[in-house]
Amino acid sequence: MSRSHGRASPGFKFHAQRCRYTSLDKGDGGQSKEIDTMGRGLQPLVTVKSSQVKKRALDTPDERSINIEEGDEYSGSRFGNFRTYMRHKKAKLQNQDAVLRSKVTPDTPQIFKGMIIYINGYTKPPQADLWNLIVVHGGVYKQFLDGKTAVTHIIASALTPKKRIEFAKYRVVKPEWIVDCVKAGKPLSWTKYRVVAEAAGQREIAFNKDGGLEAQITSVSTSYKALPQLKKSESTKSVSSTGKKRRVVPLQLNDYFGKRISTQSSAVSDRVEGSGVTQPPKVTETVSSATMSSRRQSVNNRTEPEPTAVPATTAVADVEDEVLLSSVDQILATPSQSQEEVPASSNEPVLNVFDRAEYVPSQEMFGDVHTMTLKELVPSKATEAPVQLSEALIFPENSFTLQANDPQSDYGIDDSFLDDIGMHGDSESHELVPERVHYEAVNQDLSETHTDTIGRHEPLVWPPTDRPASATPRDEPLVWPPTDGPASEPPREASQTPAKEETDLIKPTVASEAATDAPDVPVMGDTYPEDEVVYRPKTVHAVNAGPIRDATDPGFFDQYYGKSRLHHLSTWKAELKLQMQELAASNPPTPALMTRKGDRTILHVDFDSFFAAVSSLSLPPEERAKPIVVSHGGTAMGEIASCNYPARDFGIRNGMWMAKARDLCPHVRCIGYDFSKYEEISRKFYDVLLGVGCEKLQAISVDEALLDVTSPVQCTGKDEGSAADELATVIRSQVRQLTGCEVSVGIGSNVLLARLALRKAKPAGQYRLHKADVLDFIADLEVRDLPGVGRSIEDKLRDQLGIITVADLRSHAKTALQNLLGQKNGQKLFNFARGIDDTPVGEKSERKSVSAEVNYMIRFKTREDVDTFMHGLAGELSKRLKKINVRGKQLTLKVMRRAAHAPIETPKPGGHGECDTFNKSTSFGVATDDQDALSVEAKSLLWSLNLVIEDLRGIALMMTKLEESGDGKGQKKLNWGAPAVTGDRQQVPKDASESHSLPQGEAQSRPSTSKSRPASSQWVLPSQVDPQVLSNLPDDIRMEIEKQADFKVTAAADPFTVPALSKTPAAKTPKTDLRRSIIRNFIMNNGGQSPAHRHPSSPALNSSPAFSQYELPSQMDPDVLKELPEDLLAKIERQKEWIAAPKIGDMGPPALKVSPRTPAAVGKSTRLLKDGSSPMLPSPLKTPYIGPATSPATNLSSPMSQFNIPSQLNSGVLAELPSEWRSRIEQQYRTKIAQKDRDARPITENPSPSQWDPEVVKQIGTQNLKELGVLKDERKHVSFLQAPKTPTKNRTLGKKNSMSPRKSPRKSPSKARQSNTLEMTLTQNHFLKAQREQLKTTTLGTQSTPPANIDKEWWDALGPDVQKDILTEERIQRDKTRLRREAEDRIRKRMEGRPKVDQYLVDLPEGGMKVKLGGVADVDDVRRMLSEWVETDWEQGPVHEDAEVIMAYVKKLVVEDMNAAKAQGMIKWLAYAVENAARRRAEERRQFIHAAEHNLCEDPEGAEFAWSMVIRKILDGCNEALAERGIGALNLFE
Amino acid sequence: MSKTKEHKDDPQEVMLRKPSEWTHNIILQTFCDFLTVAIHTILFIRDLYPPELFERARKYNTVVRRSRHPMLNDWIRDVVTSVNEELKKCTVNRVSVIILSADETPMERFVFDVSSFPNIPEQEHNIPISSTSATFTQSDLLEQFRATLIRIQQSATTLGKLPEDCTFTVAIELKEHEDKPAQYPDPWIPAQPQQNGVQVNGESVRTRVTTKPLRNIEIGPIKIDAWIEESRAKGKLKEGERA
Repeated sequence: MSRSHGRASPGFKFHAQRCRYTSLDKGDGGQSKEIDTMGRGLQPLVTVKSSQVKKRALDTPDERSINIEEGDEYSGSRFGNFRTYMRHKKAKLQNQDAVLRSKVTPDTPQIFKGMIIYINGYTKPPQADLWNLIVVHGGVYKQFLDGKTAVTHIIASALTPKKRIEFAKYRVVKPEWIVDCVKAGKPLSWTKYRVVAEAAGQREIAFNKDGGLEAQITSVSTSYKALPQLKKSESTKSVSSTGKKRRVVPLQLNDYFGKRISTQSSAVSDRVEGSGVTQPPKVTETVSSATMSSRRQSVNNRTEPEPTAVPATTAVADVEDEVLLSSVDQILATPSQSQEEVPASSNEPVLNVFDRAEYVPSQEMFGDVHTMTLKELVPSKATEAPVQLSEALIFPENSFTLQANDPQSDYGIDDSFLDDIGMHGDSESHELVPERVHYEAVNQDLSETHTDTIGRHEPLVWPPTDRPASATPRDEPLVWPPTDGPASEPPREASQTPAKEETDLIKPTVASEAATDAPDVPVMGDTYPEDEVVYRPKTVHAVNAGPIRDATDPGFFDQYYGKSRLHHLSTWKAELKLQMQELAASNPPTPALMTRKGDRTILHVDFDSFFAAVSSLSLPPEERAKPIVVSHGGTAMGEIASCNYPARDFGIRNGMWMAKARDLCPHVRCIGYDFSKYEEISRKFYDVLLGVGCEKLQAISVDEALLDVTSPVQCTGKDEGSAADELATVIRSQVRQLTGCEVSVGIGSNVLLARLALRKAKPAGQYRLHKADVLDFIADLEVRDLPGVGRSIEDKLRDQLGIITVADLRSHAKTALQNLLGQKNGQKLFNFARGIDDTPVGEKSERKSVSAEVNYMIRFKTREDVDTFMHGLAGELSKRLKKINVRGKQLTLKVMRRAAHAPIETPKPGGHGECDTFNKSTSFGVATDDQDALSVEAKSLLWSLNLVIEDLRGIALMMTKLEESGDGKGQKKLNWGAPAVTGDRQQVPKDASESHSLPQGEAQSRPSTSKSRPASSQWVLPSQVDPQVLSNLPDDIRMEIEKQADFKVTAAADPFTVPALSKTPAAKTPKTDLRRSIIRNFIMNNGGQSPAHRHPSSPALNSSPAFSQYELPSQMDPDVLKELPEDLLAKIERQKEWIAAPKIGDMGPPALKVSPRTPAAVGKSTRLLKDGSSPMLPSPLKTPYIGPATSPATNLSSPMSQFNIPSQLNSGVLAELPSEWRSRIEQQYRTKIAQKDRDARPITENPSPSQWDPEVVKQIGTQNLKELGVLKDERKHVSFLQAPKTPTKNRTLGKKNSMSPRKSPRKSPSKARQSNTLEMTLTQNHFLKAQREQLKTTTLGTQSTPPANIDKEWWDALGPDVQKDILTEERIQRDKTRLRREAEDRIRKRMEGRPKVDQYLVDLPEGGMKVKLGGVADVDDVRRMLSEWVETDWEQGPVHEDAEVIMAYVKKLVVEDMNAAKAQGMIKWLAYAVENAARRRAEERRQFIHAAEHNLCEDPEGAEFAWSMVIRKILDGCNEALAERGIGALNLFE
Repeated sequence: MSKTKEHKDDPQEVMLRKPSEWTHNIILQTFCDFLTVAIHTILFIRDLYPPELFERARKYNTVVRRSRHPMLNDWIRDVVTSVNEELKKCTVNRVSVIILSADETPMERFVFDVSSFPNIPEQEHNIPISSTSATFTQSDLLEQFRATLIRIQQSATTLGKLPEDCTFTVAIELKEHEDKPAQYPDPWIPAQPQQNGVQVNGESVRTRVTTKPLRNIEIGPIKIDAWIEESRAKGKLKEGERA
């Protein structure tokens, strides 16, 4: 009842329509149709919800017997039960009507039968009369308008505007209707009495006769009928309804494309068929081929084709579906379609089936197919060409497997992925050679069809662009919307297209895609002959198939920014401008010795319609004289970027839409962009300008520059004016010569005048504004011609000061302008009006903000979408910030939300349409450019706006308050690595140890797919088997090892292990190896972060073996080493040492890494562990025995493994050990060497650190485990509370405590820093929380409980160090998530201003336990009980115990329930009950006395007295209780 | 049909829509809002100011009177704000609106017993309270407030006539075991014993005042007992006047 009716749900509409429809169907005559609609037609239709209401209402008069004041409705309603009260009230009112109705004579016509009428506001005749009339004539009168559908008519004389909206869908009728109906004795058409005219032409959904849904125009009234009827027939559409999604297939479209409609994808066809849409002729399209199948065999001959094909099919289906949808989106929005009425409610992608989308494989599929290709290659090629294949083939195998085998998973493979593929394009090239054979073959067919495809498509929505044949792939991606590729028309053949063939068809595209992404790969450039351009459109198309989806795509950003024309233009321009500025700056300006101040000569040089001119350069001159515009794609949807002067004569302007332009000039020629050309021309242009030798050069744009030529002109000694003219002529002719384009030059004594002169100079001319003419010249201009005067300023000036021309402007005082426009602008305009402009040329405008904005394709559905997107956007912003080397302090979020009245579908598909804009900003304490920080803040900003996700149309992030991100400025990234003092020595092994475990673990746990792999590889094979050890092994074992190793090489394709195992002295490999390690060393030294950490989101990098443990050059070719410079050698030596440091994770069983964790996380965790906790670690055994120099390395790799034998075991130290330990260590040592020596070091130097005899572990390890738990607590403690060292530590350290001072000074800085950070994240609430958590962990930590996801048995079998490792990781992961959550919480809290803690509530002592009397607390129950008590015990008088109970109850009420009111009420009730009882007895007695003269009652007053005494007593008790609370006595009976 | 609609339009009540999100601060704020309304109502019904000073307003879905005098309103607001401050310390036992005669003798006391408000440490004031018996709704609370206000309005008929030139004050009574603040915070001054009127030594209380219970509000964590204490001195005055 309070819901606005304006937003009538479809359900309601639907209902109304249905009524109407049936009425039409059943109508027995044209005249009575409307009546049917209102009345009889309605009754059988009442549907679910409203039916009950109506039924109840309608049944009332007939069925309800008039039982005056006997129904439920006449009982009282309880306190707070308003609903019951209202229901009763209504029922009672209806009862009144029933009474009224019962008096009606049978001959009164029941005109209003079946109608439920409500009267609103003042009416004439008055409401009561109408009420009477309605009821008497069989209608139901409703006093309250509750529920939308309960009422059939509303009577009102007039409606308030608000009600007009609310009642828009009701039948609102004038009161005269009632009167007239009664007069006429029959129901009249209400439409003639309507008060609210329904919106004409509103489309609604209705059932047609076949039971299908039909869109139709609401025919609201007779007066409107003619028009909508017409429209209806035109625009009848079939609506398919599958589940929730309603998709409209515009029939007209089918007509256009009818012949070529095909439904390849079963998913699509099913949907279409199911919906009963006219099935378009089904054409199965196949790709030809003998070549292809042979090709396929050559590709697939080593593996089964099926597994590859299956996912591909799915992919195709999926992708096609999506592409279909999205491309239809486009079509629908084209002008030709927009005439058709797209149902307003269809914000879902509209489905259309048409051919062009048929073979459009999107990028995702490429990824997929590519995956397959790669996978196939891996085992086979790796051995053949280990070097070339190196990176490309090894690393992503895991992720690939996942992608390929799981068709259900999202096929979104982002660009980084593709980039990676592209990066390693050389492996591709290997494969491509045979591929091209097929490629060209297909091409043949394609090129044939291509021409007529274009021909046929020409008049349609998508005329293909006339792309220059020489266009390189890099120039094309900007063509949008996708051109019609020949791929959509592959040769048709019988039979279904097997997915495999598609796969093959696509493969070359993949390759080319990779090429696009990796322009540096030489092979790719060469493999593309010119004629293959025919094929290109498909690639382009496919590449573009990405952005047509929405911004939730993982690869959206790269795509968007990679392909966005505007973005390209702006960044390109900006970059170019920057280049030019740098160029200008690097050319020392001609000494400005002779410059007289304030008297300068400025040239403004500008191309004439740059883009148009450059793009049309390739055309013959006579063509160029015709109207030409530059737009993308040349579709009707294109926006004109530039048009030449002939085109301008037709009224075509930049920024106009192609469709409009074609209207203005049908034969206008549209050409595409040619960026390389632009760049080239621009460069030449600037070459010319720089050659002039100007004093200052300011690049305004790629085609526009300001030159300060004051001194050169003065140097000539000639008249400044004519010298400038000459110079301008020179520039023009030179540019013309070099570029073939015209430039215009404006010459003035300042920037403003130069600009204005340029206006006059255009086109293809030059103009010098003479000093004398300046004022006159300016005076004639309009204000808006002045630079910096936009529409708003223009409007302000015109509306408020009446200024139109500059002359007007001049007549106003400066203050007036300043008042209107602000200090600065006013001053500027005032000066401009007088031809004064002191802006210097070449003023380098400092960057004030950096922003990233996307307002295209923003259509989100879920919160996750938005979050992902925001993260991406933040990433983009971060990228840009980093690019120009700044950080910002303030983040501003701009959100465009669909304006309330704007349609959901925008005129331009994916565009933002009309929008409201919201801005919100937040400040960072320190300037930042970190993606995560930005992302978190941006998200919270966005969510704080509380917008409807679906309505988002554009999001922009802007960073302001920028500062240089040089050293010492901004926020220093916390160095998780070792303190700088230890240098790189520590960092490298750490990295090695942290990352090595994962790939191997995965490699082991990966299900074996290859036959070559031995099925039973139970133990992990060390990848670097020491040759000596190997040779000592029994033959069979050695062979097994070698076999495994061999497999490993192929499987993991680790190039670095190859030489060691197969003993091939491949000179190249170590070099690569070395180079890599050096590079990494460099990274480590400089960044302090592992690359994996820097790209946490890139799946490829995550599993990249480039950073695995194998990469360290442990087996280096001595020859190579020799040739190295000394410093490198030293480094390598050091690295060698470190790599020998124990690695914990290596030895773990493969399942060690069961918890899914990215290497980045692992890496970080390890760092955290090392840095944060190792100084605190009690290493009672290790610490004293390790030489100070080596300790960090060892320490960090296994802080917990006290029993690990340090790699450089000091024999002296060993000797000092207790003999039992020593012997154990030695034993260990030996065992290890014999079994599992993985480190390729001389045995003597390679004590086994982490492999422990289970027995030893059992004996010594238990204590460790305990310590481990304790430690865990301690660490927790530190991180939360920054507590000082706990006693735990001291205890464990024992007498060896003396060691710690030596270590701590080195560690302390980083430790302090870390605890600081942690502390910074704390707030009050977290303090509390932390305490709880701490408690939790204390209990948990004492025995090492396995993490939830690890099998207990297995866990127990683990060594303590491994357990610890897992636990540590667990904990760190947990801490990380917690910290993140807390940070989010904090932000949310700040945003909401109203703090909220999830799942944490203040507990109250169980309240609400009401004091009960005899088990009941309810007032009524207690009353009843009291009454009964009085009644039953009346004669015998109140029993003392009962009275005591009641008194105790009342006292309790006062004291415990604090409910004096209830106590008083009870006493009062008791008094009332007594009084009542007494009265009744008295009555009875009187009757008895009267009748029989019997004196049956003995002393009735006595009973009453006794009772009242009891009440007094209870009252006293109550008062006592009140006094106990300090409340005055009740005064009940005064 | 207007009932729910009005609730919706009240921003304050919108804020309180979900009892599950109630924090201590919200409870206190809710109570203080009610207290404000109650004070205005009391001032009106007890004729402390000319009736034309008051305007009709709607609150808790009932008609209430609201003072139009800015100074008075400011005073009330200030006092309620400082009551809120005190309430936050969880040391308040009762809040009473005391009507004083010209010679500062308390005539009537409208007492709101808030002693059973949850005692929650300051730092948890913004954390939602787990209402174990959260079977109530927003409108339940509003109805309780409304009922109490109506009771206050009704009480005017049963309360004895006040002498001329009465004034009023608001007092808080701290809990018994709570140490009184070493120095009273600014807005508060120690009440005169007679003004305070409530000694626990029962006899004097019982003889000096009559209590008229108003209503007990009990919704979730909110539990307020409200009553009026009427001084017998007033009765005497009344009789004296009559005589």
